[in-house]
Amino acid sequence: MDSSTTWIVTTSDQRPISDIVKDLTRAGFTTDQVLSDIGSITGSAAPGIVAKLRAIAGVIDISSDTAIDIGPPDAPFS
Amino acid sequence: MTKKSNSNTEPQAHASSGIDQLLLAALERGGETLQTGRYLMTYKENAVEDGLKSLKAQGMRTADARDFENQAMTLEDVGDADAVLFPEIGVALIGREAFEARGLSAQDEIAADSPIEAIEPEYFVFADDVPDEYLRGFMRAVETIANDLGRGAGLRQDEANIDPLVLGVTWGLLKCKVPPSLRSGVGIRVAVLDTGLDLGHPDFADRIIVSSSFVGEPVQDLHGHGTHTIGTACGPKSPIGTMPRYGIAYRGQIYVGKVLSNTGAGSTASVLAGMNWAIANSCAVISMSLGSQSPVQAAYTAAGSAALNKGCLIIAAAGNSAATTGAPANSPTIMSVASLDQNLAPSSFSNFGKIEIAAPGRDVFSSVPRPAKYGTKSGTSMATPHVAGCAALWAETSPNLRAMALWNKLQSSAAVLPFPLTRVGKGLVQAP
Repeated sequence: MDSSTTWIVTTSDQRPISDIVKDLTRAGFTTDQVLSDIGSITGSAAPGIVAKLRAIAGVIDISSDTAIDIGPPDAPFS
Repeated sequence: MTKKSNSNTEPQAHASSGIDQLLLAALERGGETLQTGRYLMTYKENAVEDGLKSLKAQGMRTADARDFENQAMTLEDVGDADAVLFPEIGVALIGREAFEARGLSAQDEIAADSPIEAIEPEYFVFADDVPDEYLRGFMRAVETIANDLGRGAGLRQDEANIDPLVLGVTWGLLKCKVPPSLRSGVGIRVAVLDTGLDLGHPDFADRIIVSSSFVGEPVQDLHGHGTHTIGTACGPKSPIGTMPRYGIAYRGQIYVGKVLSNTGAGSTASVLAGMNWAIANSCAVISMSLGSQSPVQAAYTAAGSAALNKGCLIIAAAGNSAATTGAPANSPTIMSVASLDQNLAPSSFSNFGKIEIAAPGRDVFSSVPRPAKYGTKSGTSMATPHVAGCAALWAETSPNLRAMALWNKLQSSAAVLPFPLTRVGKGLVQAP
């Protein structure tokens, strides 16, 4: 099993998102995307450090990335 | 039926033709039988005189309502005029023969300095006692006239199966009252987050497409889903050849966000990236025909909230699991769309629970990638772009109709249906 998982970090706009990114990085998070218009940061981290990441000021939620599948082109409903 | 002394025994669509003549002519022509065959030119404010000059310059004999007492002009007075001008409202009616003889077309690009605001086909109208009488009224009228002439046999009575090829427009657009709308979505950015678009599809050749991929594959749609949903939301007013009209915001500015791969797969991260892009690009309408059977996801709720704060409205499919609404549609800041069958009952597959509005989602005809170019699909994925397209038309009516105000307008103007809120929300979406 991978030692790192893709996480979606949801932030509040109390702090500049760039500051939150710095704190996440310092705590062991590898940032992939900073989606500043919607306050989301995606990236990877070992599951063990997520509790620490959640404690960072401005972090509302951290959830693992989930798959979406609308099925193949000939699916009955889509 | 009014008999006019007319050496031509063929039913015509002149400026002076009576309604019965128009209905017969439409029946004879087949094709877009909800159109009378005549055209309406709407002039810009204060441009009526220029409009009249331009009609005369094209050699059209024009009857002007001002030439009649109290502008009370009747068809008999119009005689064999090619065009009839209604100066108080800035509109001219042009007969079919006069229009076509000059090579005019409703798809003509209108020059910026033209007195013309819009050129549109004229549609039949019927007394609208209860919702859904529009088509029945037409069928009844045609049947009556045909019977008068001893030609009653062979008319389609089956209202449950509306054939788009007969009517010239899909059943979904009909039910959403799109054809009579004067709106085109012009000036409104509509983002569709899906599997991309067939960028070479002939029906989109004249549109400027803004696109971005968030899945590490080119935007070119090799799956089909994205081309279909974009078709419903923003397809052309007149598709190539004899295809029925299947798209709503035909002058909307299309933003294609590829958040699902060519196999139809994606993840929250790719979808969020697309949402961020659409909001950063000020897309007033963001259509998302995708999701998963999961509880509310905080990231989607935050994205929905950011969108609303920035004048954008996110509209998402409720899902097709005949279960409670999935994510992202289940976020309180995102509009959830349920699917309806042709009889306007909720589709059997449609999710329920948190539903804001409903739209046609069964057997929806729209564009698909070449070589097929057109195809029929079912799902809340098909219902969602009907709402997105109508949202773009509403957004065009006023700069104040954005975000929550647009959400409220879509709900307050929806046609009420005899089903619970949990199944159809406030009802069937309607175009302005």
